[in-house]
Amino acid sequence: MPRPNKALRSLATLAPGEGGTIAETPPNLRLAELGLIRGQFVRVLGVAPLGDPVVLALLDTPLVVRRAELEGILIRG
Amino acid sequence: MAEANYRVALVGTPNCGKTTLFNALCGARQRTGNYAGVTVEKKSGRLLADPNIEVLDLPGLYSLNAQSTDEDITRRVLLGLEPSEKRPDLLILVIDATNLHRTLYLALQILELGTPALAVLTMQDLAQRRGFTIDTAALSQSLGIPVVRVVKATPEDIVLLNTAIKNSIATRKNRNKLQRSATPEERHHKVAAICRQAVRPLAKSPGPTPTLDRWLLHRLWGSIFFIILMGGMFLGIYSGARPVMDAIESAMKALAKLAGEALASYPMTASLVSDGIIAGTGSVLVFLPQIALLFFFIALLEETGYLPRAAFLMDKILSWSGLSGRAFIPLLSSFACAVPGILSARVMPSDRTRMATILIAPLMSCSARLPVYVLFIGAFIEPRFGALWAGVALFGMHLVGLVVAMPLALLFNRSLRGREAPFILELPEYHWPHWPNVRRRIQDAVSDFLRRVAGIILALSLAIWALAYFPHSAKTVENEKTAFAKERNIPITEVENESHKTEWENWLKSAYLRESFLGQLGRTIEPLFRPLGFDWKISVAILAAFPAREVFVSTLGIIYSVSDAEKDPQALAKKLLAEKKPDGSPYYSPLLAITIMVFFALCLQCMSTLATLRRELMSVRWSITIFVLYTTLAYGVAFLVAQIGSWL
Ligand SMILES: Nc1nc2c(ncn2[C@@H]2O[C@H](COP(=O)(O)OP(=O)(O)O)[C@@H](O)[C@H]2O)c(=O)[nH]1
Repeated sequence: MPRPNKALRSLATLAPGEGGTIAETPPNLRLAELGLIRGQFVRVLGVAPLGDPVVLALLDTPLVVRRAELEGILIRG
Repeated sequence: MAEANYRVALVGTPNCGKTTLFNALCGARQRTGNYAGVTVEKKSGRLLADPNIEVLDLPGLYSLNAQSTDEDITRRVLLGLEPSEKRPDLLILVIDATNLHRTLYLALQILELGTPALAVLTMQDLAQRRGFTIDTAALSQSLGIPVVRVVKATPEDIVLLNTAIKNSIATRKNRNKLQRSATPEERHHKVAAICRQAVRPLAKSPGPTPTLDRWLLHRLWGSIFFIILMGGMFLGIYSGARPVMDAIESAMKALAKLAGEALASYPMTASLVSDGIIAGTGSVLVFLPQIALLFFFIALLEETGYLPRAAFLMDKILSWSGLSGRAFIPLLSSFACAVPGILSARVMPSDRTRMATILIAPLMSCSARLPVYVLFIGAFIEPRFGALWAGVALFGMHLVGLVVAMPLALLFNRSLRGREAPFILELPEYHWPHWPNVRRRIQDAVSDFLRRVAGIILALSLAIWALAYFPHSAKTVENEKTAFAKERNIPITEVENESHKTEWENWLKSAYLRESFLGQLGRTIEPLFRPLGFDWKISVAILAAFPAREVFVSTLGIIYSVSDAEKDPQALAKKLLAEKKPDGSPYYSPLLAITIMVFFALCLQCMSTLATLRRELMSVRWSITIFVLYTTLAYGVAFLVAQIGSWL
């Protein structure tokens, strides 16, 4: 059962394997069009050798995004 | 070709299988060019099944809200805003079964415009491998347009697609204006609904890609694999192309010799044919093995799905300078040769980052600079400081360009105008290469180079030849005979005797070069180079090396009357060591050697690179700007080296 008050976490700080449903996202048209919209489930698949960028499991095809772009996207779960 | 009656355009996200379809639809009936005023490649062709139909392969895009120059071109063509392009009569929306959601998102957005369209579903084989299949009938129903399934461009599937295209054009239907979505969210929800109807699960197997990625994207194992792969690729280009290049060079030399002998009674024509035309042709051909090999590797990386993964692994190393992981392969290749390196920047979408990458590529120390390093390090560093320092010097020379290039990249990225999409990559399914695509990639790169770059290289070679040949006056022979005889202590009449033949020929060649326009130019600009410690001989060699850097060594060889300096740098090194200043002290010092090498590492003394830059940036102005900039830079840094070195 999802706990309604569970703290929101920033997508930029998740470790590989962690994920959840997007609760809040700042207006970023490109990311929204690629599927980072509220209510969408997303998981961090992996991190590049030097810590950035990250690979997200999102929709059908994994997406590589720099952490800086993920700033402000909040995840519940 | 006659004006086509109809235009159809392939539209889709990057990697959806558009180009594979295009190649299958048009075969050899295609050409590449550029959209007016931008560096975006334009691919168009005629339908094999009906030459009345023109097919356009539009640059891939994720959305009509364009964020890069590539995407903007596609948007403008689709909306009929591009002045030189007629709006397509029919769109072929490419839907990737393994990336259904995002490709449908774009398809919906385009269908909202109301242009007649039909859809092609690609990659169904890979979807099945991943445990699901897509119901084309359901998809067609939801979208309101025909959907044709084409797997790996199989001929039977292509026949069906051809029929569908011709039907759509004949009936002029398939116009299904979808209702506009107000927000991306709304459109995503519509897409999700379509997916729910069209996707049929088969088995619970995710296919090989996640497993492969666990290893290939692993922080340690993935990096090790990457380094081995890139090392192998680099060595492959660097040494794999060598035998063919050597073969081309010796074939050209043999041909030149043959022509020289055949035309012996017309010395000027002989020199024009063998030193101008044949040598110039050789300097074009010599690039082909590297270009072909590099594009073979790149096509393999693209075709297996590894290329975006390589960009992912390398992004952080390059991102601080404003570049991205995509710049890695062009820069790495430039260490072999900037010409294929710059061409390979086509793997990047056309935007500021691509331009910055192309602009710094010539600073990577290419293999043509190596003979220069080998000569000077071998003559002045190794004997005095030992093999270890020789190694350090060689490594240092390769580093100089890189150290200068990265801050410059930052500067270019800050100051260049141009749009820039955020660095976002999709990681497609791994798959086996589709060989016709590999062949097409190599063929395109080679023929484009021959058509658009070769001519300039040839023309400039001829110009430099003329400068180095003329005036070639008969007086020179008489004067030099006297000088030679005096130097050797022999009577003038014996100068042309068999016993002195080679020496005399080398002597005369040196004299001709000294008195040529190029030699005069070298002496004119000598004062300019004097602060660096360069004499007119070095200045002439620098000028003469414009057609190809390695010519520097052979030109010095000619000036110092050495037979074949390229093959035997030792002989030239001896002469350089013996060169004296007017006061009798040795002219060359390790410091001068380092100054020359630093100058060489940074300057853009390579007309082939400039010709390629002009082609890829579509700008003569930029080529000249960058030439002046790097020459100034090389001068400045070499000057600092000379000054600081002389204080120490
Ligand atoms: N297995 C499989 N691979 C395909 C199919 N269509 C294209 N490909 C491959 O998918 C990759 C991307 O295709 P490409 O035509 O270059 O896509 P573009 O970027 O949209 O032009 C290439 O490696 C193709 O060989 C298909 O139907 N099945």
